Amino acid sequence: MGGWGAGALLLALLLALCSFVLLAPASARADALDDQVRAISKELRCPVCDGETVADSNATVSVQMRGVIRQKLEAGESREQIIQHFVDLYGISILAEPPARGFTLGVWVAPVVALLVGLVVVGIVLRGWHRGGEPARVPVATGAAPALATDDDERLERELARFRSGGAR
Amino acid sequence: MADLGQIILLAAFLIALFGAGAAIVGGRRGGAAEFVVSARHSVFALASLLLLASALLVTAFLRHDFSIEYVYNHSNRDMSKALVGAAFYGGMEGSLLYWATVLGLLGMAATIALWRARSAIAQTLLPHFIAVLLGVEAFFTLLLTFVARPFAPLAGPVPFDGRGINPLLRDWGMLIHPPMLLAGYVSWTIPFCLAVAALLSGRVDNAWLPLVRRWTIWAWAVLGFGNLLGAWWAYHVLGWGGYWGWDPVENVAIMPWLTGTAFLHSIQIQERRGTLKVWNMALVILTFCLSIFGTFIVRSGVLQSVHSFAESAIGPYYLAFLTIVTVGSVALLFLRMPALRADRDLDSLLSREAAFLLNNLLFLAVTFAIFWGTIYPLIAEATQGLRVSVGPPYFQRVNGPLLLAVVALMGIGPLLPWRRASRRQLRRAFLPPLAAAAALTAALAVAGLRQPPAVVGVFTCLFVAATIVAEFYQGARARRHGAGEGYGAALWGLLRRNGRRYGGYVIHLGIVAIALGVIGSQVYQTERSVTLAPGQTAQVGRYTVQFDGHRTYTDADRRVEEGVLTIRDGERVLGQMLPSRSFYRGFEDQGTTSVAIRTTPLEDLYIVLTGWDADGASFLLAVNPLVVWLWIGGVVVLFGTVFAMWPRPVPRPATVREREPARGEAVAYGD
Repeated sequence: MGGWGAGALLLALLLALCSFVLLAPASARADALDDQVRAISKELRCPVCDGETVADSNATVSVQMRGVIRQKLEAGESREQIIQHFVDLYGISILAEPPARGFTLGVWVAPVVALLVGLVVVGIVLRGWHRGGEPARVPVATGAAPALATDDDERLERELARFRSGGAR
Repeated sequence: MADLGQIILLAAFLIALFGAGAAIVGGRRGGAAEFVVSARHSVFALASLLLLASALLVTAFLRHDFSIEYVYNHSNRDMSKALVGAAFYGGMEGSLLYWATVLGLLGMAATIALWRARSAIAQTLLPHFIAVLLGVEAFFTLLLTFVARPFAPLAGPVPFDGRGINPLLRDWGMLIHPPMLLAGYVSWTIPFCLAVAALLSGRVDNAWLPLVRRWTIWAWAVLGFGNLLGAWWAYHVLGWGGYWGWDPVENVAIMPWLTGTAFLHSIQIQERRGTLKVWNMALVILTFCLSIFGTFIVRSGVLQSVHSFAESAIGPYYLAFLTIVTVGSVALLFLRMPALRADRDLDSLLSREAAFLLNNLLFLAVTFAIFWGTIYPLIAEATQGLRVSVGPPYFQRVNGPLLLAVVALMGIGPLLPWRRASRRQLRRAFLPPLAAAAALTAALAVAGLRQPPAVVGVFTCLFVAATIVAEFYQGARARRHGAGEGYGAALWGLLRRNGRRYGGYVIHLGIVAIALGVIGSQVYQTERSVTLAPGQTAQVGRYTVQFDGHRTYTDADRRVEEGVLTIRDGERVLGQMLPSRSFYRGFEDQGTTSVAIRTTPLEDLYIVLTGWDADGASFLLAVNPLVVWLWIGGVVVLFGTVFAMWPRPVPRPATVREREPARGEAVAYGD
């Protein structure tokens, strides 16, 4: 059953592709002070807006927060210290990205679990179809097989197949 | 005029009820045909009444009839005529009326198509279709008549001027994005009604699929385009440097599009192989429910503030409707489960069927991740009393890889034959595009493409593009050989005669362009925020930006603060850019941004004026690579959609005579 082995390999490759991107760093490091301010303010949510980060919002409080971030950076504080400062002030709702621990771990875990469960279900369904009874051997040409496949598509497929196998030159 | 409007809406509500009842009676076994005729006429009458009500409301806006509360609240005398007309759907009541009207017109088109299609299945489905359609319309006209009344009079004396519209919406994007998005939501009602009609009638074999196909493509395209226009608007008007912010309202708008995309693909398996019947029903129901959920979220404000939920008059109604639709459809689906057996089995995991299944899984996974991230703050607050926010980084990190896998499947799927693939076939199909993509990616890597996510993403996109080009090339060569056409004529012939397949490839090509735009702008965006005194310069990317000065001027209805910047690339002057902020009369505390954008095929220079004082001004400077490909890709998708929907030339009668009536009808009336 080469189809299954190769299919599984393809699936594994797709998953590897996914995880690779997942683990890659989100963006390059910022160096200049302005850019550092922007990078940090992107991790904080504007407390008075709907769904904007401090970096993107022009609300007064966001402008002030950017000022505070700048001062603290100039005073030599680290990114973690600055973010902790705002978490102490506002609680974790100030973080644009929920931390992957405690209750908010759930937000990260659920999609992954759902994907895995989905993969298992699809696998089971496929196996079931595959085992269930005789493999369909209805010749396409009887017209009974592909319920609604259109004639042009069929003809095209046939011509393409002929062409690819070198029948047409 | 207000009274007339209210009476029309009440009449519409009553007609929807009557028509739904007549359709139910007429649809029963042995039901009298007269009832079905009555129901059909109700659909036409309803559409006419709703159109009339909409026309009345637009007229009230244009005449500045501030005795109507809705007009008073959403327009004023300063606004341009076009904008005043558009204010019609700028608020909750008006957008509901717009919803109902568009559904009335689409429903009428679908009813005519079913009625004129003399096939047995169309006649069987027609009364059930009308019953569901008018049931949905009854809900909306009920809201319009009793809850969210667009023609409600304003209490007290009629004021001279209205309150105007939110300045953010004073843009021509406002004229097209919201109605397009809403029309996309609405359009999914038609496939849903057809699916439920099939369930109700018990004709759940594959016969209803040709009737739903074109409506599905239509709804998919309109909703997708609505979303893309939203991205365009955000990019050009909102001025935060991006086009997609993973805001709750954006999230709920993309969810039905994702499940709809899954449906669009999985019905192809059912058409070909007769499997996945239950799944397809579930998908179209889910898509409709998500559309309703989307309108509900957008209009009720439930996600911005949990507490406004109880106060919002319309929220509970929507919730009740959503519950009825969900529970009812799912119950119906279970009832028909025995009839929804698959016709045949899957042969191999390495077949196009399997690729389609994986596509479905990925689209649903993305939808779930978005749904989960969007409602998680609600769950956290309800169960733990914990206020959390789930922002863009979460959505990017979770969805990025899934969407990349979707893109990869776009290349893999078409290369896999139906049923099963042999090793030799696979080598022949995969090696050339993989090699082409690898070679091009290597060349780009030499030219400076180094960031690992971008390398993987670009390689994937190029692979997909290569497979599509190869498909076109082979198809054109086959046609050229068969019909003796030139390449141009052969390509045209492919698109024209096999529009579904090759139009689909064109759409995929557009999606690849969009994916490249997303990858480029996400991975390689350069942003700086700078404060400049007059004469000072800042460097962003290869551009030198010099602040020349700041000026203020006043228009008819606004004050504009503008920064004047000279842009240079090295020593060469590229031109001036004028980012500004406008302050509209009546909304002086709420400035709206006008972004200055200089677009080239490779990158946008994007400048936002963020603040100013006597000494200088501050700007957000960004270089956003490849963003223009999002919009180009959108146009390409639109182009492909036209071919996918375009009626194919009538086939030679010798081979299809027995199916001709249905086919001819689908051709003429768009399923």
